[in-house]
Amino acid sequence: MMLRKLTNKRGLLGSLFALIMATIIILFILTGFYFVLVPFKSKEVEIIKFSRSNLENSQELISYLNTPLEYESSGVKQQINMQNLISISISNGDFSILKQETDSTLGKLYGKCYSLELKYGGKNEKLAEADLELKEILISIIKKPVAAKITLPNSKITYENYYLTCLRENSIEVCDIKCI
Amino acid sequence: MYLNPNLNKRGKIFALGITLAVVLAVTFSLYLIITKPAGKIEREVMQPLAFLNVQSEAREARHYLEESADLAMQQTLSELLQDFPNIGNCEHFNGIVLYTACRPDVEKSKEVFENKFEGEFNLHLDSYKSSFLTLDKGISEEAYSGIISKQAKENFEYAFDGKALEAKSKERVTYLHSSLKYEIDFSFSSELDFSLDEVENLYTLGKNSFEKCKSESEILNCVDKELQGKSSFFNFSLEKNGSIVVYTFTTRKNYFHSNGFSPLEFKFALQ
Repeated sequence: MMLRKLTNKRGLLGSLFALIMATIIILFILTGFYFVLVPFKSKEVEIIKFSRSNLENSQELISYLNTPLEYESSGVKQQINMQNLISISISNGDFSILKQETDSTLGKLYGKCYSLELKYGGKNEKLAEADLELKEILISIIKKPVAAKITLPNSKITYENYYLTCLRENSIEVCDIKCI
Repeated sequence: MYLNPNLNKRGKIFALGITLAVVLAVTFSLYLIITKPAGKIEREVMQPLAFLNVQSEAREARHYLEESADLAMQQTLSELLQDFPNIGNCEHFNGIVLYTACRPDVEKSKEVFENKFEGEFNLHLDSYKSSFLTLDKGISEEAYSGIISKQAKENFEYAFDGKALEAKSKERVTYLHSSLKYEIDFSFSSELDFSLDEVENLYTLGKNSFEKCKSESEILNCVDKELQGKSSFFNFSLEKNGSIVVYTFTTRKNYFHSNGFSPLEFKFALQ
């Protein structure tokens, strides 16, 4: 009887020892996995974030640049596109018509929730600026705006759209209330 | 105190067995949980996204290329109208060509246009900088820019018929990414509003009106009447200096050129 009690005790101690050893080995393997696999995981997250924002809006920016317009100068009316108007504004140094046309295309859709900036010959011109207060609220909810840059023959255009980002997590009605 | 050595030994083997079994089971589960989805993400998410990124960059590059071509067409037209090739020995009056012993050479002008266009267009392609917001280590912004400024630039064969310009890619341009190869044909076409033959038409209009009106006392009025409504693309103005009449034809539309966006002029004089 005495012997059986002692053997049981040893068996229990042995199982405990086995459990501790298993835990140590598992922890060791887990640490190895962490160092080997975490870089893959973070890379994957970065790429998904980047790709989404880049893909969604470069197309939109190209559509904006291709928007047809009627331009009148010295009594001559002609069909141009938004990109032509950008070149004309740069050569004239007058961006008022361009801002007006931008507002009637993008502003109509996104209200105060987008910004558009033009860089040319070492200068910057803000064609539309997102409402700062709104931007902060939206950023705190959705982290990053949809953003794109496009190179043009004589300039570079940067675009940020908080409305489209808002749509990822909210309905059109909610985003309209926030932005328009 | 006596312990059965067999029981002790069995206990040790049992403990070791449990340890090995648990370690193997957990390791295998972790392998399944962590590595399989990562491989799945690589196959089903990262590769298609890398492909779409390359496609997106190619789309932006194509937009840049087509806009540069349109711009270069207009810049070339502007330069050509200022110094149009001629047949014969031309004299000049106040820096304006006098079409007495010479005439415009439209065939030559098509060749000159093509060469000038290539120069202007290549200048634009040289300055292409990709806007690729890359976090992907597979390919850099410089590498993407180089695809347009080097690979695409050297790759076109041009054919210009006086109005439409066709640019054909000799080979498909290749975007190489670590896990994919994306090929694109950047061939494009661009067109002027009017053919360069219109210059020949302007010369003929000028010559015929001058011949008809040179004996008239009100030569300018007479020429003005002769030219009214004859060209759909140009307006005209006249100036008389002794026996010389200067014809200035101005495009009805504005064009991009080195001095901005305004109508282009084609000038000549007749005596």
